[in-house]
Amino acid sequence: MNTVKMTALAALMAATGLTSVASAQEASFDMKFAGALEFSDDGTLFVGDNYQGAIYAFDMTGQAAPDQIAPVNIGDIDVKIADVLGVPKSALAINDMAVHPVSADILISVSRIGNFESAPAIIKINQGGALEVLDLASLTVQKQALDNFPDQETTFRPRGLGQMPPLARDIAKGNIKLSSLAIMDMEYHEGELFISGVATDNFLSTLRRMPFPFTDEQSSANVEMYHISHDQFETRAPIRAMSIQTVDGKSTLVAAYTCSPVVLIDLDEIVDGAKISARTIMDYGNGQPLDIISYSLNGEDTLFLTNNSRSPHIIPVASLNGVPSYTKGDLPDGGKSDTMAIMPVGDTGKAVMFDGMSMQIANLGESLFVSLTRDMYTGSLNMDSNFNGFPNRLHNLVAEFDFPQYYADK
Amino acid sequence: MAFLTRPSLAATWVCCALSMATQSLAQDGQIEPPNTPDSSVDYTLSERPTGLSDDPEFQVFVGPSGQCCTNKSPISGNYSFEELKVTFTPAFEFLEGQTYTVQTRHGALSEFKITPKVAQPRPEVLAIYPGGGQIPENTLRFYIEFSTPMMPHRAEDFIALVDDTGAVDDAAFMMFKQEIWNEDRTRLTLLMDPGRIKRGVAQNMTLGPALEETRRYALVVRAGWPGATGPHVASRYENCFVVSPALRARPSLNDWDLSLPTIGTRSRLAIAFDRPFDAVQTSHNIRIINAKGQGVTGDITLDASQTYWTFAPDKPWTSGTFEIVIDAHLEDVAGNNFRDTLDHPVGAVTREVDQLWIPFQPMKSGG
Repeated sequence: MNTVKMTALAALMAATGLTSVASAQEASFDMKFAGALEFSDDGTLFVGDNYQGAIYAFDMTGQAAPDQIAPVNIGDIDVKIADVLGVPKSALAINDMAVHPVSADILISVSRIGNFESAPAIIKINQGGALEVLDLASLTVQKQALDNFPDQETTFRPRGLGQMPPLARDIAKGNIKLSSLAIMDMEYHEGELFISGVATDNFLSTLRRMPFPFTDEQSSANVEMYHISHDQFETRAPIRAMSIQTVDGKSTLVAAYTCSPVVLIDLDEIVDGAKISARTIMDYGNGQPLDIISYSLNGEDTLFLTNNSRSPHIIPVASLNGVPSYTKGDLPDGGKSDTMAIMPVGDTGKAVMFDGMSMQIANLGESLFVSLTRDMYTGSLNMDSNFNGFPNRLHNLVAEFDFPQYYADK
Repeated sequence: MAFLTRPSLAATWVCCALSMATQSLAQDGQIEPPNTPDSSVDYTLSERPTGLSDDPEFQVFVGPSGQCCTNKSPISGNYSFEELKVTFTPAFEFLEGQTYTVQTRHGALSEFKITPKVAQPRPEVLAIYPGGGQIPENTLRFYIEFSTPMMPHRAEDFIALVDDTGAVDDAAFMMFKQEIWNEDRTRLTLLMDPGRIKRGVAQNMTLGPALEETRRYALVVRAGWPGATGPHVASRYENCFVVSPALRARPSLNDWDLSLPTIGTRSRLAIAFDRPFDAVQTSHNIRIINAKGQGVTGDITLDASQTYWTFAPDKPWTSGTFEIVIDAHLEDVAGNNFRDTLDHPVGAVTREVDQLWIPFQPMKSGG
């Protein structure tokens, strides 16, 4: 699909009558949900639309980089976003957050719940801390629909009734929208987009792969969880968060899915129709993983995993080289409680301190994390930026240094 | 788009405002609030403004005037001008029943609220699926249906699985970064963690499956969950059930029993399933087509036990052959579909099928 500027579009359409071009123009206006966000290396913004069953790619390339990337701190960010959208914060769902790799603008995708429906919006917060609703209509856009079952070309057809004409389009298979997929995470890697999701009403393929710029080609694979102790069984399982790293010299998807197991999947395994037995390499503890981001810590590639009920976990990427998968007999079946002697299993990382609960986290430049953090005391949701070497608001922590006696004794 | 004030101009503006203030308060402009959600706010100035300013003539804020307006951001929108009239069109429609505050440049505050024409339903749980009092041990997915959109990211606070000893399992369900709502935000999907669904002999080192066969549980939605908009909260709702054996075999059409409809009537075609199927998928993954291959429109029902499905056509049945077309990805409540079971032996071959068909002919009336 060609990317076209809206202003030139009218002339082009009149001249050629191309309908595919028409869909590019309409794309930004038919987006119904702004969910998972991901940037390409130069600033294309991918947005997952759960209701359309589609990915939108907005051109935000060609932006200027600031001389230095500064932290951005905004208290009660949910109230501020709700204010701008004209709703109370109870009518706001924050879906995802991403940072422009060049301009360091912070984008937050939300659902604004209205009178009897919801509307998508993307909020942009610049380095100066100014907050505004992103004007999507002003950006050039491509849209890629996710095929329901991309490897099949069948349509509903009566069987055994002889040579019948194709069925009415409204029940033809290819026209059934994939409108039940909540796209949870997307990763851009070397010209491809990897997409994981959880369906609202089925438990099918959850990992897709497609080239960008979009060509309509897409691959869809099932990720299966291997039952360690009963090595004869596998279960379809959803991926929650993922990051692409080089492990043992190969491009590998590092993913968090059920409870807190971490799995590795060779990118080569992600081919259309595959049933991938993801290799479980660690279970670092109970809780629900939220984000996996990769950054450089003390010069080493490191993963930072957030969780909705435990401290973040850091895992050096190099520690994954040569790491064994769980094998038969290592672990009992089913969930394992933190309090059991066996836990954690295969953990090559460690938990780190974090003030509050990070609901959304992203890299802000090379040396900062920006997080939407639930404050432990006030319960407010704040945008906090901290140095990724020690991601805490040091001024908020009370230590012995804060007490006058400390200095009196010195 | 929100207006940003440039500091240097603001200083000038304040000076002007002070001198104009006494004059202007006496002849402040006229605010015309919107009376429908998609209307704009109009402000007719009493006189043309003198001097330049980046500040808009007025701004609109969410909430009552008592909480306005320092530290609050105005609603995003556009301003347009015509003669003495300034019109603000918000980026999104105003909410019915929500109090908004208008603040003029001179600081005068006024409130407005758009009365709903149709009362928004009070938030309530309408149903929990699967229903019917008995569900398999390896049930994968629950749906909670509400009367109105609910406040997001509160599910964990209000939903719990309670067993027959009263023990509460707050961690029975998977929670993702995004909650899994349908498009109109009234149906929430809850997934059991497949890793906790037991297979084989129980071992005493496990966290334990969420559901155990023969035991009774209640899926509880605690009272107090607020709606997304409006002041009301939902009351408590419970869905009690006893746990039946796990469903471990792939479903088969051979286990479905059909009751045929009658030619010339709109009587129902009925299918008795051998097990409960997914409540949402049965409304779109089982279709009826006629001999020409056209879809037959009609009304679908599914009973509370999710084992009895019926279809009544919009137009009376004609004679001839019809087909029930079933998407092979249709799942039972344990996530098994016609291609494979959710939990399957390594190396099990998936049945490569996309659709299944059951031909049938409506019966002649009179037997």
